[in-house]
Amino acid sequence: MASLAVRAARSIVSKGARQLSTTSQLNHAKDDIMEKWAPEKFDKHFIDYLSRPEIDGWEVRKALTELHDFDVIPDPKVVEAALRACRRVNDYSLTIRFLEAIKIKCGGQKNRDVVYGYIIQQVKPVLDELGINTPEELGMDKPEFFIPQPEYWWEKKWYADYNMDKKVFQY
Amino acid sequence: AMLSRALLFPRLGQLSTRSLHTSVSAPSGHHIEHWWGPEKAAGRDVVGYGSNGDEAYQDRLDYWYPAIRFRKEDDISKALRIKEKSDWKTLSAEDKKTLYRYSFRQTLSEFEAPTGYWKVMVAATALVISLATFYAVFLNVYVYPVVPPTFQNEYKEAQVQRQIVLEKGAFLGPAKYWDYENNQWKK
Repeated sequence: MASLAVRAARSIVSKGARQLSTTSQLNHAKDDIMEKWAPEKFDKHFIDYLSRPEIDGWEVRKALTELHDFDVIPDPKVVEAALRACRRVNDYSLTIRFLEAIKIKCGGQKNRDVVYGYIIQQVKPVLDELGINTPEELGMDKPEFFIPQPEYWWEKKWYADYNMDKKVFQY
Repeated sequence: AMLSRALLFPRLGQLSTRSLHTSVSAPSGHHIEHWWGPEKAAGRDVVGYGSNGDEAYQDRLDYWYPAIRFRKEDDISKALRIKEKSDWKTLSAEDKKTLYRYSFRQTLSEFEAPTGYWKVMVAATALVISLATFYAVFLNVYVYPVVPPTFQNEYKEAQVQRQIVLEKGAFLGPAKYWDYENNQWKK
């Protein structure tokens, strides 16, 4: 009982202390989330991070993942920085993956044609300089393989196709 | 006394030492019984964070960069990784696609391609609906007794006629709507 009373008293004191605080730091920082940054500041944040000479592969992927989190189609300048970062960490597959991520962010086919086409056209010099091919040039804009999902459907003959050791009755 | 105790309970010693462990198996303190991620990832390079930091491969539109490579490194990929360090213009289109396939399972176009599994779903749904329909028909034909004659339209009409003649339901029933002077329904 006594401990309860002490706890209650303590909570009253702490509440009182909070109410009496005269600083208003929270109000200053109210809009300082990245969603509300000015486009230039947002782009600069990613360009600066991706342009660090000591960046490693993990950091490149982390930056691209976070860039992917925002409701933003990356600016061509950011795309250039990202491609150069991929070059710095010698990960070619990441460049294709990143160009595909731009397509995801563009959304529908119409936007992909317009915006993605524009970005590719803008970063064309960098693509040529680094020797990067777009997914379209590599023929990756059309499906090449079918990936079965066994939880939906699995044909018996696929056991043999995938070299799986399973005895299946053959007609 | 010590000896006889050890002989009587041979596993007691192990138990007591085990109970003295003060650390937990997982750093978070959370006991994870089924966590196959690291086992499945065995041998694959951890290259990123993925969606939640687990070392698992997953293609997701919202987390497009998985934490591990899709394939283990082998002789082909090791040769390519050395080649990858030089100018990328020396890589052939085939090399580039192979590099992609070592890192990732499927391209965006493959990820978005229609799978056709909706047909399985429609078939299963239609099967359930048709079975339910057949069962209902079976019940109606073979199980339930014949519907009583009060359900026939002739009977229902005769009932309304009777209510009008007896002037039943002057407040809510058919008599309210019957014009007794002209012998017809009220207009």
